[in-house]
Amino acid sequence: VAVDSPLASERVAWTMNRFEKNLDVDYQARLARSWRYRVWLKAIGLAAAGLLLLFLLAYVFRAVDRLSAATAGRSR
Amino acid sequence: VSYPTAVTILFLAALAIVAADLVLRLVLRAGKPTRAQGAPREGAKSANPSVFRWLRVAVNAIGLVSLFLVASTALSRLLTDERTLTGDRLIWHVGTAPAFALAAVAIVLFWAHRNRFSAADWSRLTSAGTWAIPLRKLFFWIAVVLAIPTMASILAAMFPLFDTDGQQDLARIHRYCGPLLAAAGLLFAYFALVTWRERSQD
Repeated sequence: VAVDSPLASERVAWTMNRFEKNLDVDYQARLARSWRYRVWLKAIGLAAAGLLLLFLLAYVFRAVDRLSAATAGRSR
Repeated sequence: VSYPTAVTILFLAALAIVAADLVLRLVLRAGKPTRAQGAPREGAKSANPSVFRWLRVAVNAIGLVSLFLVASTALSRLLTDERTLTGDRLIWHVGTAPAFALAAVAIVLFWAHRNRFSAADWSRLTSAGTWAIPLRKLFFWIAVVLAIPTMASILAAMFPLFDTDGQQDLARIHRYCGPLLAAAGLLFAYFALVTWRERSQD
């Protein structure tokens, strides 16, 4: 950001975080860099949750099938 | 009960289960063989090639380490005065979460078939010293059931699908399911180690 001054010779550019007092610039930079991987986090997390749900449902269905077979007995 | 107290009680209960199992095992070992007569046992030898065995060991190790990293980064805030997980701990938590998610899928792939419940599990559970296998299965499926809302809730909160209250509810689901998942995962790891040790001693 260009910072104005009464003196033309003192016109300088400041980074925006200089306007914020007590700001941890290193942490903000690390957080900003991590944002580019956010889409990967979402994709991996949702794929993992979906696969876990598939595994769970696969065994739940088998359990329900066996339960039904056990309760049905031998009659046809 | 506040959230830090509830989480502390949860992990103390998990530790109490481990301690009770260790004490009972020591008592049973002093008195009689650990395997009760007539109690059914799991197959002692695996027919898998050695490459799968080493892959399974690697997956288990990576899963345990990633679970420890994810849980410790999240629960470390309980040791501080902060009310929310922020700063570098949040970055570490979010950074290790995909590794844990992938490891969780791999662990379920390797363990789900072995952890099917069978009719023999009830007799194992009621026989002296053989309860590790049914408890391993129980905590495995509890962890699988808890892993899904733990992951899905916090990821759903990252999409513009819910209002502020909804996002806070999703974060609350993540905060409560997460410690339960960690406790169930640790107990599954403990009983898996116990059954592996029993099998290697046979």
